[in-house]
Amino acid sequence: MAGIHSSLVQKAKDVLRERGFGEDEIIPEFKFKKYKIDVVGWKKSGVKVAVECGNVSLSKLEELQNYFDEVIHIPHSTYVLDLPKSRRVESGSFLTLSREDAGLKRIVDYVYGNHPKRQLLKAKGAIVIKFLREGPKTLSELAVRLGLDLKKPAELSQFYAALRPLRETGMISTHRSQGKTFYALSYASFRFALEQLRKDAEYWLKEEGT
Amino acid sequence: MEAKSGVDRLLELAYGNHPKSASLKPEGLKVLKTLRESGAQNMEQLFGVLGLDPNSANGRKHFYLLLRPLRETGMIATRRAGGKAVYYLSYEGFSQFLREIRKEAEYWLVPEEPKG
Repeated sequence: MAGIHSSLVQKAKDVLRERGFGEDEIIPEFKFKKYKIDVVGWKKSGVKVAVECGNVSLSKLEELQNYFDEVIHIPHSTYVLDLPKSRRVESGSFLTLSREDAGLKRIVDYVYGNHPKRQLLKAKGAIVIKFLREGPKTLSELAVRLGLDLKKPAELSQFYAALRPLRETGMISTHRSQGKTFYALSYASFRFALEQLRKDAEYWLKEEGT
Repeated sequence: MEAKSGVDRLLELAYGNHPKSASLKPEGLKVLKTLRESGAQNMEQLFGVLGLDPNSANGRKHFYLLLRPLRETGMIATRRAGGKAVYYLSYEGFSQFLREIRKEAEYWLVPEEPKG
């Protein structure tokens, strides 16, 4: 397990290097308040990025978000993007969104809003969308991809908290087959939700009498 | 659960669910209603509608904070008239905002073709 962790730490350093942090700006095992952060990138300009590897509590990530410009979590089951070249993101796509992924960011921003408690869920939402682009997945496949153990009540509630906004906006739907629940992307129902907004705007964003 | 009205959906999209920005929704509604019922308004007129003091730094800060989400989503736009900025509703601007989201959704919410 230690070997796996050190390889994740190595990945964390690579991510920071790719983001322009120099060797002297990358600090492993950074002590901060009551925590030890796996790797911190601290630029001379003041930009600070915290990277946590492997298992980490949500509350730790949430608290770090208050002090760092960006908090990245690299889970054990590192997710490798499989996108067409035109949309490929070379790094920084673990549980954080890279700037190149602006389109997906726009969508998850729309879905999760700007509530502080929902910020960490955005990264999970992005992973769900990317994963479901491969095709429908079962509940347990999704949980594994998200690195969540559904037998633990806290992680089960995290799972549903991450998926609820996607369902509410119609982006994903479920169906039962062979006794299992399958999750799938649903462009049609999301488009319906957008159409509803357009109709609202037709009334509210035109001056009366025009 | 209470059903959301059309304007609630628009305001939620603009201001989001952050407690601080969501608290601006009632004033955002006032802006939309005024622009809808009375047409384009200049800054002084909107300050008056909102009961804000244009001469105080806090009043101006609040005004821009309040209007920024509506401008960023294209719901309202400005033009210059008689040397003054005039705010008006922009269905076109908002439609463009929706089109951009739809374009992204077209890519991200449609499963990839199986390889091979």
